Amino acid sequence: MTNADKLRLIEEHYRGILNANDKVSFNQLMKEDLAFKQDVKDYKAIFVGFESLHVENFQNNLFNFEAKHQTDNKTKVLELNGTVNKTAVIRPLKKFYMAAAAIALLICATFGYNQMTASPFDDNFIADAEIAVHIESIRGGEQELSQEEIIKKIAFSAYQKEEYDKAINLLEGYITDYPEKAAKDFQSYLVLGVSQLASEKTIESIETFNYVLHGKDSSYKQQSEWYISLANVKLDKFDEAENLLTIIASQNGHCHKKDAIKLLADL
Amino acid sequence: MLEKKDNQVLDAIKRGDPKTLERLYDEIRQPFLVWASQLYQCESEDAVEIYQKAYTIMYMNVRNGKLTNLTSSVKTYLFSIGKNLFREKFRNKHNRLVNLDDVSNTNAINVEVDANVLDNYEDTHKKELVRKLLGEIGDPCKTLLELMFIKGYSAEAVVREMNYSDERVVRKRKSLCLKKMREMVAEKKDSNLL
Repeated sequence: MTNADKLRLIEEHYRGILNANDKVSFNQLMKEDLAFKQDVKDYKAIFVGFESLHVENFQNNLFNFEAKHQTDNKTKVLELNGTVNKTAVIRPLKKFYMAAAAIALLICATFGYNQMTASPFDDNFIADAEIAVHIESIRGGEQELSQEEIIKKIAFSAYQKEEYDKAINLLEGYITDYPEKAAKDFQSYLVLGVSQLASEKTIESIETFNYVLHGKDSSYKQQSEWYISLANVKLDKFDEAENLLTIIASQNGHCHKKDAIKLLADL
Repeated sequence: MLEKKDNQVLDAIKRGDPKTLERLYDEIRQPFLVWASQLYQCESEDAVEIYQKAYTIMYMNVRNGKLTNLTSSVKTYLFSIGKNLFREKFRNKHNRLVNLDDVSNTNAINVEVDANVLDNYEDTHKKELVRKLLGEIGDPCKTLLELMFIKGYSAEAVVREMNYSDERVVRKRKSLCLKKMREMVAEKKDSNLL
């Protein structure tokens, strides 16, 4: 049996598609050929990894299929409204009353609509309070906090009260004055980013979230991905937002998976 | 496309034919959503989520040879998976879970499915490892492995896509690329990067 044949057996073993004859060959090789046994072990990560990537790719395709339907639905609603207007039979004398009523209704509806509806960003942005829990206070109980922790605590408290400018000033000061500690403090960067996003400093917020995203601590990365998507929506960079949202939506364990699917549909 | 040609559709799915997959998704989607909203009174986004899950399970069953022949239509099969997924979604946590293998044909309409079965394919660590290796391996290996393993192209389709002379060359190249990838894994292990 050639090496290529052996590799095919290993691949089919991990995909669970070995036929009866190949199963016999595979089991025999496992018993008799130590090198083959080692190959089976070594290739596991590669074939399992590829299968996971294949499923991810397939699910991304499904999101694309679905996105087309979401767009179609919006178009159909518009077309349907158009059809109703075309097929309606209106008596001549009533026509003017109807037109006047329609115009009045349109003015009221437009005004009401503008009052009621917000952009996809406003519909989906929430400054999550849970990200700004000051952990040192909880851990330390009544113990005295260091100067930098006090600054952080006040900043987080300002964030919780939606005093975003104050939170930004304090956190920027903390980052400048305590660079070594702040460099690894991705929670503070996340709170700073959300505060910037909430106070129209959208471009700055993306830079801040990117810092979190490229850091070594993975605890706040999913949140950062979500907020970067929202920031891109706010900047009308819909392609970039959709790309990232599609990635989020395809990850089963992502804490913003459902939000991403909803926002994709909104877009 | 459905009914008469369902087993031909299975062949196309097995080949990973993107047009068939999209057409099938489009054809069954609306009846599935109507059925789901009437029977389970769920939000449309929940129905879409279950539909996509059912569709993925069906695809993986075909791809991995668990579903090779249908006694009824693809549509009925998808509905039966959907029904089981809905039941799983709403079921009492203490009840017994049954493996996906049990719904490999439409006769299994009343059999329950483990709704987390897709998690079996979600091995984040190995997935990220392979993604990283693909980023480092360079072409033509990167393109060839992506086409064959991630996009599910056949050797024949790779011949066309990458202008190789025949399928034998593709298989040989694939084997060499996998070997190279294995060596990269070993190097990373040696330097404690894994």
